[in-house]
Amino acid sequence: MKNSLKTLRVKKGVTQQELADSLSVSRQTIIAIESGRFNPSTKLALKMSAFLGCTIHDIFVLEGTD
Amino acid sequence: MNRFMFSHNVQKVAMLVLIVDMIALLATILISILNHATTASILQSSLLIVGYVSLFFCVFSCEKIEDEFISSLRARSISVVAIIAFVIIIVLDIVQLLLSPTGFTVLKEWRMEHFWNGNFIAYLAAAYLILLKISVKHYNK
Repeated sequence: MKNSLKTLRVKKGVTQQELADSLSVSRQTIIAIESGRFNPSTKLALKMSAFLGCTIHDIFVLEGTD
Repeated sequence: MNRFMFSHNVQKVAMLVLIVDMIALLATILISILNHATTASILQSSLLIVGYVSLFFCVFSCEKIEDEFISSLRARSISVVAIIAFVIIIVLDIVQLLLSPTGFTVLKEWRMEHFWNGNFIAYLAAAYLILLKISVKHYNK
């Protein structure tokens, strides 16, 4: 699964730490999601989309192999 | 998971105690080796007990922020340690079965001394803790 979290976060002018704080998760979680090494739960994905003001589909996209 | 674990402050204190305790233990062992002592002193036993207790608190306490990703790192670390333990046990069992009766006894004694005692569990707990800390640190960059 691909994600454009980093692009959307930078576009919003938010640091990894700020995003982590507002979602009540660790910075490691944001790093792991942005690098595509961890897929968040539905709850966290919903929180992210609400914070970034977009839909889940704008952040996460299924790849051909998924 | 947090309901079953101690707070992060407990981990900080336990980690500090563990480090100081290990240094003190190594120092006493070194001194006893230099003095050609053959038995462990009461001090060494006490330090070992403190070490085990602090290790217990380190293992069963939360990270600074305990979220789903940290939980997944915990699960991965436990899996790796469990696989290592399983492989060690299986390999030792196979080697033991292949050995002659004399070799069997020697290996069994060595195994009892190094693995089939409380230390084995402590080694696994320490390995789990180290793995977890390394993976948390790795994802901090």
